Amino acid sequence: MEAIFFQILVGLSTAMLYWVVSVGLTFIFGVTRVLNFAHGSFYMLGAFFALALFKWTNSFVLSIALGSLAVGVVGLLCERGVIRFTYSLPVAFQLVLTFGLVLIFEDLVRFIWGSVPQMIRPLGLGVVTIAGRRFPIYSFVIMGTGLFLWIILYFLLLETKLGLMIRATISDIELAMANGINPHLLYAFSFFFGSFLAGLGGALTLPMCSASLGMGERIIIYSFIITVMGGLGNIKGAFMSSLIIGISESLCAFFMPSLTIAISYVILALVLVVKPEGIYGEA
Amino acid sequence: MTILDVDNLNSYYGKSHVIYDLNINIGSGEIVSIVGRNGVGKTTILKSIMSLVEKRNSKITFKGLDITNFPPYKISKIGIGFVPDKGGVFLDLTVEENLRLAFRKGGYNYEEIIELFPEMKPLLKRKGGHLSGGERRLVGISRALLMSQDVLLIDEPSEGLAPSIVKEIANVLLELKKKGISILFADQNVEFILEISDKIYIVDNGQIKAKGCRGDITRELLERHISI
Repeated sequence: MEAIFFQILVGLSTAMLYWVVSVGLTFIFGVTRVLNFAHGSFYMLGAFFALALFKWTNSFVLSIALGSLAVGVVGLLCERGVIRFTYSLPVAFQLVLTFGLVLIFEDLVRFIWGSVPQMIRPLGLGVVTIAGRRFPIYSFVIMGTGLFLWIILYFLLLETKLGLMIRATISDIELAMANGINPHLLYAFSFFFGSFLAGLGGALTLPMCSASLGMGERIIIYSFIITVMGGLGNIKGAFMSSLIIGISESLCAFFMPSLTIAISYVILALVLVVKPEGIYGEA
Repeated sequence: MTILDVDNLNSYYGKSHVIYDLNINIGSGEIVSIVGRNGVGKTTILKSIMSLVEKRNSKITFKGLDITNFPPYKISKIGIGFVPDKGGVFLDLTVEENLRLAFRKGGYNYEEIIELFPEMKPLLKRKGGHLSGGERRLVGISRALLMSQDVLLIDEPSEGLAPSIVKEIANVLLELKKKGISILFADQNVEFILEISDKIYIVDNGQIKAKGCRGDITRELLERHISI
């Protein structure tokens, strides 16, 4: 029983990291209807930016904040520079374009940081003993960040004028425009914010795993699983799916280690068979 | 004085040419109706003015300003409001949020709207998607009133409504006219059209077939162009 509790705790930490990244993808899709393949690259950039900033400032908190913001700006530039020209085109153009961005960012990172994985141990928060096993205190930081993000997003969407405009645009873009809402500003904001969250996820992983080329590939697959499973563009759905995937994966690693990789796909398949529109439906 | 001038409107859906060389002008404080059967292009005309449908070789002037190439949100900001058919309500937002989003300085305020439509008070917390057709229409008109526009484009304001509510909406539109607001609406309800229109345009196959002031257009002519 204690072991199960421990695994759930590990799963919660993983789930919150998945949530931070996948809600960015969900947010971008919800507002712009663009499935952004480059989201994983933004996650990777977040890790490398934070790494570089940490070497420069020696402050982990500052490097996470500035690194994530820098990724947000990169996302904004991508949207204004190229992605906005594909809004009226079929979805295949957006997928090809954002996949092209993946290749560009991979090569840029290789050119600037090289292909050797890099890691830092910046915090030294230590561990606590839970159920007789050692649990990193840093995992509580990730859980706290995930929950804080949940609160911020709900405040943003439900309590602010900007949130009202975003929900109106998601609900009916034609009516929103006739209401004086400039959708291009919201699209730009959503790319900035969504990319910022991907960057935040990448930066947060830095004390636990190395910044490396290709680190975005795994996370983009998980982000897509979570986004589709919760309901495309549905933020509540992304949160629930992150919890389901993170905890299931952790429990599976304990009970059936050989199925750990497969479990997310199995759950996604089961959900789509029962509810093809995802747990909470498309936003 | 002409406030909105639509000159030589030609609208397209992709390669399909759907509105041909259409001219409409609306004076200040005037109520103008576009009349015709389903599918003749009434909604397309309104959407083209709002830049929600592609137009070519056309010119639209608002208070002397050429707004032909303005995006929809800019057209809304300079004073042209649009109430689409089925009410123009955000289905995923509550009625209160719908109203809050539309509020602009200089328009009706929240209390005045509730006073005008007291039946809306119990609906404030209800989502737009859970309203009846009549309730949606009331919210859509209320949103337009809150937005403080000089010109309102209203698509099918009487469609699917009980006669008592149609009468109420006619009164509201006449009240707006008294305040100097110009209205261009598309509809098929002959009584409603004849009651409030100063000028009537009859449209068929994307072209104007007849136009004139209320007295010039007979009930028979209207019915002929509305009946299938």
